[in-house]
Amino acid sequence: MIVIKELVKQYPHATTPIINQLTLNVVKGESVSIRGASGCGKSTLLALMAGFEEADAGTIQIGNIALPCDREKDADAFRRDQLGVVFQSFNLLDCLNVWDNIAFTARLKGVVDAPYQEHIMDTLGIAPLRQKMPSALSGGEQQRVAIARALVHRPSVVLADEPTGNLDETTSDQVAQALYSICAELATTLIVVTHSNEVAQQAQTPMWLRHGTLHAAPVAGGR
Amino acid sequence: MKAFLIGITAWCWLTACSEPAPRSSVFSQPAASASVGVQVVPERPVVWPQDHASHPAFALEWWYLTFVLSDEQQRQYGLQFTLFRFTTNPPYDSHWTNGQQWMGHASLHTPTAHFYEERLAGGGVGNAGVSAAPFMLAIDNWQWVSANTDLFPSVLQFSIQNDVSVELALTTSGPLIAHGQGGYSEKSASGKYRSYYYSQPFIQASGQLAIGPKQGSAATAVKVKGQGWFDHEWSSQLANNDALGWDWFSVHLQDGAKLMVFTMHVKGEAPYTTGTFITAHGESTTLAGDALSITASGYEAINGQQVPVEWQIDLAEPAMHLTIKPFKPGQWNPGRVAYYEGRIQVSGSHQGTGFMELTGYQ
Amino acid sequence: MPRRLWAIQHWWLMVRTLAAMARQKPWQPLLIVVAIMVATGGLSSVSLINAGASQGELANTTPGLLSGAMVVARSPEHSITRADYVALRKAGFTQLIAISRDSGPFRCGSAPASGRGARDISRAVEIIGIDTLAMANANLPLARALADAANSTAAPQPIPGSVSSVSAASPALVSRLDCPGGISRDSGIAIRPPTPLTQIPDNTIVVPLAAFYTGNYTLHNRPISALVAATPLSPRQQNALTRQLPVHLKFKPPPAIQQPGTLSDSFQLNLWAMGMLMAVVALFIVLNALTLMYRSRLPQMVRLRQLGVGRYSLINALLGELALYCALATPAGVLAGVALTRQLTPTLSSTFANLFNAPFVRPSPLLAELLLSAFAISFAALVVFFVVPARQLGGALNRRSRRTTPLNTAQRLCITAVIVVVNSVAILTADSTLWALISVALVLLGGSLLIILWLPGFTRLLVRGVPPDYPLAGYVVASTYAFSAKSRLAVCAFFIALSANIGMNVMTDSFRQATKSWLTQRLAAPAYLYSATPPSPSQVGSNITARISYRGYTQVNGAPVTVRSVSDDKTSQDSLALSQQLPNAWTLFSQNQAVLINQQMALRQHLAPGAKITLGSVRVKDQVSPHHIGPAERIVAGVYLDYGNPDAQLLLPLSVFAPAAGFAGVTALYNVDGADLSALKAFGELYETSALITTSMATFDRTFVLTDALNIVTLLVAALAFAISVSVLTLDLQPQLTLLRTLGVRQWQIKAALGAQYMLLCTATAMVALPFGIGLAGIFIYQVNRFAFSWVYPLQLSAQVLISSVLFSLAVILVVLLLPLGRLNNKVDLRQEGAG
Repeated sequence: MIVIKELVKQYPHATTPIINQLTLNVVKGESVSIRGASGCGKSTLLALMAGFEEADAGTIQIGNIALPCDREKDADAFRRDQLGVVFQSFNLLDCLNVWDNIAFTARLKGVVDAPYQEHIMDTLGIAPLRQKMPSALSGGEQQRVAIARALVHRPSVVLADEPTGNLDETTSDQVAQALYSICAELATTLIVVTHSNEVAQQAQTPMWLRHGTLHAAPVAGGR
Repeated sequence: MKAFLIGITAWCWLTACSEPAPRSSVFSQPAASASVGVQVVPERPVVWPQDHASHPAFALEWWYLTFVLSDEQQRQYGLQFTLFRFTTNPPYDSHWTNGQQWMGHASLHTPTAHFYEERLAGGGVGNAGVSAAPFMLAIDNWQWVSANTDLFPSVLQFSIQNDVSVELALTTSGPLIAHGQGGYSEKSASGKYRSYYYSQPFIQASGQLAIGPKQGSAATAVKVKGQGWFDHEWSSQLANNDALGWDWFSVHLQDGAKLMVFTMHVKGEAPYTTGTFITAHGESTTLAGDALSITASGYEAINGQQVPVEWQIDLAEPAMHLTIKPFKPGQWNPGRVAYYEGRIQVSGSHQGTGFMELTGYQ
Repeated sequence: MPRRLWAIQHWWLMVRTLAAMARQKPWQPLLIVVAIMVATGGLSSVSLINAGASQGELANTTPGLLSGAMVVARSPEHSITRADYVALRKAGFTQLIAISRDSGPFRCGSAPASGRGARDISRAVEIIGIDTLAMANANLPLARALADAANSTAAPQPIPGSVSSVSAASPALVSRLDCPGGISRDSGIAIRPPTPLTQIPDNTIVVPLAAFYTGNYTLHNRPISALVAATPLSPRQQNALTRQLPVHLKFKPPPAIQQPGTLSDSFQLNLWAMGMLMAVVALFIVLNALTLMYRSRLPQMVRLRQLGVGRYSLINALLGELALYCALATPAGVLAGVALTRQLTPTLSSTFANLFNAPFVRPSPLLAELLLSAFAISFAALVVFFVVPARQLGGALNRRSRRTTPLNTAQRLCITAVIVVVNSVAILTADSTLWALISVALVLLGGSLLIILWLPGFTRLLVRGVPPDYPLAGYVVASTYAFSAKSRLAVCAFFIALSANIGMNVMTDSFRQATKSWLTQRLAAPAYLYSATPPSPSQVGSNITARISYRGYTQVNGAPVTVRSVSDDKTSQDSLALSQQLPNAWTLFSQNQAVLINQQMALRQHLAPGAKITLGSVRVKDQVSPHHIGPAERIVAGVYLDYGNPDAQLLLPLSVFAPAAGFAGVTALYNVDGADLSALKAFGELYETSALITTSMATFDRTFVLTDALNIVTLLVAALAFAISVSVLTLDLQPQLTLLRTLGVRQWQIKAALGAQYMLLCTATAMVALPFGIGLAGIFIYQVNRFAFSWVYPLQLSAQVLISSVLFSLAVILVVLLLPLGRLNNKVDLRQEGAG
């Protein structure tokens, strides 16, 4: 499903690449967690996979899409049709209520399915919140809305960047569980970037990002 | 539905193009009063030379000279000189004017140009008026002066906008003609609209025109001569907003005869056509009813109005079928009282020349 | 789903989302709508005021009816009779119109319902009767207007219960008098409240002569005062009239001073320039509001792009939103501008009449044309300004990628150098009025760019300069630095308005000083006599010295040039300031080898002292034969200043050029103290030099009053833009202000701090605007004026003018800022803002 080969990304004024010959293979429906120290490049890797940024070298293949796309409209279509993204800071549209926020991606793709949306909202426990505005929700509620939005249009891949980063411990567990279970139910490939061990261990394939590459195990003595 | 609306619109447009514009009263002007003043009555015929002078008791009066002239190169000119008098009936007595108002119109048409001026003056000031002994008619330095109480021989001198100066010596070769019944001239079938009206159609004019800087050079004087026609008319019945205007023609026929015809339009009555045929010896016959018809046959767009400038005049006795055409387009006097006044060419059963005056098309 | 349907649904989704954003923060689109309304309203108003002034007679140099040539009685013992009038008109002088004056007493009637009695207005007015029928022959607007007034339902109606006459007066007098009950004299018919009409002198009510001579007013006790020439008389006609006049009458030529005069051209240019300035400032307001809205929407836009919304879908939707705001705001703005101009028309008419003695014609706007052009201009301008933020918004996929690296000092210096070079080239190579005006625009835009480049850096320098013992001051300065980046456009609008203000004030002040100095020098004689013919020696007398000047015309290099003569004695040399001259200029001039030319001729024909020219035949008006002046080849000996003259002119020695028929109409009189001037006063118009200078300077001052008013309006508009920015950005500052309150800073201290930071920004802007304003003044004087009118004057810098311009502008900003500062929330609100 996801094949990354020898990916390199270096920011201006940095002495070393933050992503350095990274390689990754993810099968369809697999859940992968990526941990690492602050500033190690976890969010950068997700941004590259989402097409928000372009790598300096290497290839990313997600399904039949090769990133970066030659044409911008292909990249837009990829994000619209194939991808679901969950952000650390929720990134809901402040001007739309919960229902419209969630439905937005489905409407964008043209695959509105109200019963399906209801099901997702029930699963995530946010059905009663449908008319509320994001500013009236707690952090956990907002993140669950964001997860529902990322899934409602049946993407092939969901990228979650620190989905529990702004939540307390109890809520983190609930949100993480919801995310993993619903992705498993929908057989959606899931990549979760997190610094939380509890969240990372729920993935089928936990990984570590260190010195710009991915590893299956932490370094000895590392946190 | 759409086609019907287009058709209706087109029909309205076409009929608007081919029909003459609706007439409006030439007296819808501040100077004209409602019908006040002494009435015109048949029992009082015109008397000369006394009636050459002004009649201030009547509301409206004019002394009207038109000339068909040509110069030594046979270029044609149409010249008009008119003095109008109105009774204004102001609500107060003034030591400056006597309530009468004088208006002079001077117009010269050459084949290519038009010169026109309008002047106003208050009655009683002294710079405008008509006196009988000797006959003198003037407004400022526009003057028509005779040596005695007769109108002719006399000298006519006036200028137009400092561009034209005119000096003509006027003589006559025939008698004065009183129209209608001793000068009592009816303008409508009901007799409600009437005036005192006489003419002198046998004027011979000779003199010079000096046409000035607007022609692109210093004033050039040309000697001219030709025929003239004088009308003097006064009434209280015509100074009325219901008098919508008239189509009037004066014709100098080649055989020396003269013809005056007009159709008068008034509100609430059918147009009234009448005229006078005058032999070369000065015998006049009033034309009326079936004996005379005046029909418009061609139009000219002037100031957004369709003005009938081509006519057919048919007389039963003597038998005549005259086609009237203007000698040039655009013979419009754009004054406070605006009207068509221009030289015409006469063809058909008889040849001739003359003048045409069309009012109510402003 | 079919692609087209999908595209429509996609677009509709974007529209609904933008609408939801607008609903959530309605003040943002409202700000744009209001900004467009202000811009289109201001532009409509200026355009209509321009139309009203143009249609008025400001550019009309024909003197008013009652200030032209006239025939008057030779002495008080004589009078003009009706017979005199008739005789002259019958002799062909039909442009002469009889008038009669009455200086009172008059009473002004109040409205019957008011219960007030009539008040005496004798000191305020004079009533003049005019032979309106004779005037109709001259086809004058005044005649037609009086006739129309008599018939119009809009004109004052007859006074109930009495016979009355129509009347007319200058717009200024009409607004001052306010006599709804009409005006009455001791005798004669009553006079209806006057209709405002042009060409009537102030303090004068005009009635028809027939109405004037009613009651006890007769030609015997109130003879005709004068016969005024309704149209100008040529010299030939003047001579003929003079010969025709009976001995008890004399001809009085028109005065030489024309009050609207040649300054009307500069006034028109001023109005146009102010209109353009208004347009630029208005566009800045709109751009400011637009940028503020997009800045606050940026996070939302990033999210939309991240969710897969295409760039062009987003841009299309944003453009559609802009078009909607334009469609909503433009009609409201245009109608408001039209309504405002209509409301102001009486004030403008009164202002024009009082200050310029000229009419302001109520403009009749072609609404459809105004609306369409306002919409087209505002939408086109918005689209132009939308391009850059649209590309940024459309391209933004995450916040990090949007962060542009700020320019470093070297880059800023490089851009500054480019701006300076471009402006310098534009200014130095300007060779026409259009290019000079383009230079003005480039200077203003260049200055704005420099503000954008350097203001943040300048304020950052200030941050370092504040001592740490003054934390609140430090906050003020640091906040100014942060604020400067977000309010650049509002600051630029203020900069443009202030620079233009300073430039105009310095230009006007320089012009005024130059004019006064030039007049004082040129008008060397203590008195001047204006007459149709030169005074005779017996009229001048033995004690008075009279210097007559002569005029003619010629051609030089194919261009018409007027010719005047001047004496070469010391008095003339002292009074004729030469801005450039050869060392022996006057010697060559007195030897008839050289001419002196005015600045207009020098600039138009690129002549300088030492240049050789060939004169064409020198003629005097109406004469066929040329006047012999000696050799045609001449040297230009010197260039003299001749402000306000639209013509090129050269001077010849009086000994060579003094043709009797070429009398210039003016005689300079010396040694007049104690002399008997009665003969001269009876002969022509006699003016003391001090009175001439006073009148001229009064005219000068009046001309620029409206420009000053428009300057203030532009300043207010810029201040409004600033206030809008302050209001918006204060909302962003709310958390910081709350924090300050929790730290114990008092509310008034916070408001003072905010006010101080804004005023600091404005003061810094003002410091930049000063040199630019002076530079603009230089362009106005040495470029715009030079190419438009072919004369220049020295730039004079007055500290008072500069300081007062800056202080006044800052005061305007301060007053306007009081509103948003006053509305600052008093409550301490510790709630956090929502995330994102």
